Amino acid sequence: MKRRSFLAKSALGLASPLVSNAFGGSQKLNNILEAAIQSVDLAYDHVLVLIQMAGGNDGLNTIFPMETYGYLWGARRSIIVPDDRILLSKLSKFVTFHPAIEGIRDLFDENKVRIVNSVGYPNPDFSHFKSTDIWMTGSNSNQNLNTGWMGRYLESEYENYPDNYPNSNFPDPPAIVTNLILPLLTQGSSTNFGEVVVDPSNNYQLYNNKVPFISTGKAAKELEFLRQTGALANKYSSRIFESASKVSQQKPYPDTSIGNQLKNIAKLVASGVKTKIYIASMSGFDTHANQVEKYEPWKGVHANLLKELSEAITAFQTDLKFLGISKRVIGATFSEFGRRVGNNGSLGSDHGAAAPMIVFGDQVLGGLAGDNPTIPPNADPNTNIPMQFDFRSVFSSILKDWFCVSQNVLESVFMKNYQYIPIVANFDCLGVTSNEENEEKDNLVDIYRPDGNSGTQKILSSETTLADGNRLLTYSNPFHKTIKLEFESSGGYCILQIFNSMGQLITVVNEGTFPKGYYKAAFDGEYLPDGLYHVRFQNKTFQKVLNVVKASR
Amino acid sequence: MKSNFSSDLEPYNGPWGVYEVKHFLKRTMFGANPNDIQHFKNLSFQQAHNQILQTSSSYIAPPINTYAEREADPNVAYGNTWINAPYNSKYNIDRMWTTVHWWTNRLLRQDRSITEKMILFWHNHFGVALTGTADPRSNYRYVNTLHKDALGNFKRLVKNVTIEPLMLNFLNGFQNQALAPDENYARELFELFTLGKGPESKYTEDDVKAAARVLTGFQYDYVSGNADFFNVRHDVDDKVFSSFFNNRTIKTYGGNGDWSTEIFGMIDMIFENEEVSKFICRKLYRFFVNYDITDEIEINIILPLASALRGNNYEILPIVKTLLGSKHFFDSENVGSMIKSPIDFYIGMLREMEPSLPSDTRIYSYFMENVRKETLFLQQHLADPPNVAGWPAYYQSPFYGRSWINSETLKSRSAILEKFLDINYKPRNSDIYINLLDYSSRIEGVDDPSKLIDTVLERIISQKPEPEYKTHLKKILLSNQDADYYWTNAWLDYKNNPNDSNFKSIVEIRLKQFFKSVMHLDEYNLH
Repeated sequence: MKRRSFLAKSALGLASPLVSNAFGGSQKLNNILEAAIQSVDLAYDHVLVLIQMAGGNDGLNTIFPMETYGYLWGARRSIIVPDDRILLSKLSKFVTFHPAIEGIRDLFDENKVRIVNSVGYPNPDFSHFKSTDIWMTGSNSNQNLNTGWMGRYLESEYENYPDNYPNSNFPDPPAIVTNLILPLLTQGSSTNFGEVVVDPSNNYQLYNNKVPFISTGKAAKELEFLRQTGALANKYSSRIFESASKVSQQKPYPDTSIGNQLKNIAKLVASGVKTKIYIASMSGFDTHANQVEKYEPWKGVHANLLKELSEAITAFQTDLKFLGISKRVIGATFSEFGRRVGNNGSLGSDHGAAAPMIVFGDQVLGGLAGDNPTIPPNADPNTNIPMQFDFRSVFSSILKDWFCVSQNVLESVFMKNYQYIPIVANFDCLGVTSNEENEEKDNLVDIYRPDGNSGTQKILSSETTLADGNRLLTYSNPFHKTIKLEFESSGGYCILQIFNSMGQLITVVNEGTFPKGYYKAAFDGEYLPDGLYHVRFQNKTFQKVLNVVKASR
Repeated sequence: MKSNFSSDLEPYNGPWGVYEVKHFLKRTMFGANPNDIQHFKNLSFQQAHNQILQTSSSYIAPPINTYAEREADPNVAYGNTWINAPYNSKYNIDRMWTTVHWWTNRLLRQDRSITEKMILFWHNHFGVALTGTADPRSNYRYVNTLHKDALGNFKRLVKNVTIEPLMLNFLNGFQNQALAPDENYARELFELFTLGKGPESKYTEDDVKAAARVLTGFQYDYVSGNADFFNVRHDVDDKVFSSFFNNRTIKTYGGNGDWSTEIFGMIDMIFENEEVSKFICRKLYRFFVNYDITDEIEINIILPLASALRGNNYEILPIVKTLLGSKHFFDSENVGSMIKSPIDFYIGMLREMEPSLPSDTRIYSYFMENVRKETLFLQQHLADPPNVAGWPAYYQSPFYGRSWINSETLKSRSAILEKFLDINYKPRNSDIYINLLDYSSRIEGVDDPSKLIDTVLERIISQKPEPEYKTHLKKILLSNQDADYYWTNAWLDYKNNPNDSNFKSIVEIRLKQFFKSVMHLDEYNLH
């Protein structure tokens, strides 16, 4: 739901009894509406900080899948952190951390970090540039989009931006970017919603020297862009300067780029700047070579980067609490891809697929979303981590819960209804209807059958829901030609996908609305080369990935 | 609006005045220096075109030790070059910075040639960034390699860059060996240096791995500064490529004989694919003409250029000549349509406005270091693109050149102009500000305010001004009076009494206001 429409609704709801009783005058009514809007406004001043880890963070050297650590060790002996140095969590013996991110581990133990496992997208692209564009635009991997998903979301909130902005309702930039390049992420259909703020105390005013020149065509368009950027820069920076100067005390931060970026963000949020989206970034994660030190793989380039990140996030959380705004801010990290399971020969790792995201803040649900990835025995140099969650699921779920964005808007932003994943805790979007109910009504929709062989058959209705571990089963594994699948739907949307070991989507066995029950399906994989495959089952918020091996003989 | 877009590559045969000369110079060099404008205006277009489009062979002395004041280098005395000195990681940073100073100096003192712009083009194409691990001698060497084929053969350049120590270091070529292939360079060789990642560029992940194996074998020699090839590090199996490369097998050279047959054989194979020619022509177009490649431009400009490039066995000069000598390049639609890159903005400003540069080595190196830091903040640090794809301005759809501009970089640009327009800007007591009195004295008819206004605007702004703006500028010169003689008299008073500080100050104040108005125009950021 749009914040504005939400505000309008709640304010009217509050005010209407007063209209008929005590207050008749329109001026008074307006005052009351205004006051109501403002009080609700404060409660809804949620802020999201995204931290880009550019280069492709080695997720397998960040959070360790302890169930199959032995296989992981076998595949990446030269770079893996030995198990006696890995940090354990008080909450779960299966969630473990790189020794450089002790601060993040501590926050996890306080339920202020949620690890979302194996986030990616089908058919991963191993180019930094293409994969970054995919994460920024929310496109499919065979698609090129010119707008960012965040830009599309902001377009729905800030109508006709930047015409007549800033204004009294929206006095500050829609999104603030704390490094010097505006990302594709905030690009809208005609303008970028991001404003670069590197130093809030820089109130340099550009010359306002707008005179008519004869310029047409392409030059005129660039000129218009320059004028717009300059005009917004002047307006926003005065206000930001004025606000930020009010915040004089903060807790200490490490003197690193990411530390300073988060420090400025905390300052701006505390100062009352009404921006809801902040984008910070750090780079250097493309660790093909020497990502660890020889013989001391818990040290090195990657460990240092993780340490910078962890210390900055920890300082940020402490500062937010000190400033009294820790309940208003959550953050999430992302990277264009993870890295391959096996190490290369350069004490590094090559471009891979899915990797964990770290979501942090007082208001996030703690714990782990999804299972740890299952490392296969004898991983070869091509082996990738299959995606468990689509990154668009993660971001749309955050927008939904943190900003109360309606299902319609989410679907137009992400071009599809992605799986909902609970990430933010204890937040009530007051009257925003979930689409779950609507989904249940669709129970009678016919089951989609791509072909006769792989049709899905309901074999029994179940009154009680099975344990999560039994909701997807495969027979037999290894398989020769056909693999039999059984799954349990608790009702609503289900999808059953097969990926190869590179993360490429081989087929969708079935997708649709499945009434509560237990189902049997088959997948004919005779044409597939021998090797490792992943079966992914998703039913609304639940998902499960199993490894299966094709062996002809 | 009338669209008079000439959508073909026919040779330009229109007028050749300041307006066109300026466009040509700003795109092929860094800024349009007043003397250069004059020089080329006196030539025919054909002569000017021929002169600019040849490789400059002028020699700029190699980078020198200007860091000894802080950190003595036992092998290199202050003011001497370090390029023949032994590698010493202790001086890595100092030597890198002085390499940047040297490069900046090359741009500032460029010949009347496209060479330096082409080197920057290739630098953006082969986007090696500064790292803490590279030997700065290889940064120097890399620039010279780019210079050698700046207008030469693209295929040869790819081969040379592939085995260039700086590149081997940057994309892990030195770690890439038979037992432990590292696919970093192989992937970028396809995606960024030759084939691109367009829809028709259908190489596979296995091709990337096969190419990585072809490229195994190099190791850096810190003594000689060379990349040496070792048979034992090379993968001696044959490498098979996908149907995109017609299932070709690149035979191993076998550890015996000339390794270059294998590596260069693979590069020849890549160049057999038409995608290479289209990819590089699009990049040339985006760098020199405009980022916006419409379907019409793809068909009428890119494809014919690409075809000619293949026909010329990937010789770059004829292609650049055709493109920059075409009606399309001079079409009013394209003039002034690009946002200046930070280097175009900064170095162009220095070359156009000619502030006096210090001659003392120490002060000069201090000045170069300032320029380096400022270009870093403007987001175009020479020798150091943000990643191996180069600067986003030349590849990142949809904003391309607009990625140079945001609130912070606009402020930095503006602050730099302010600084140079301030006569109090005297770093280390040296006059580096733009001397507006000197600049204006060199303008013919400067005592006529209209003439002064026309000349300055014509030289530095690509757009044609509306009459109201000229009126506005004239008001500045005339202190809101109406008659031209207010300025004429003021100028002549100063001219005839150059030592009278009062007359001088009257003129100087007005000139400063006048130039501030012009250089702080948004139009000034376009060329």
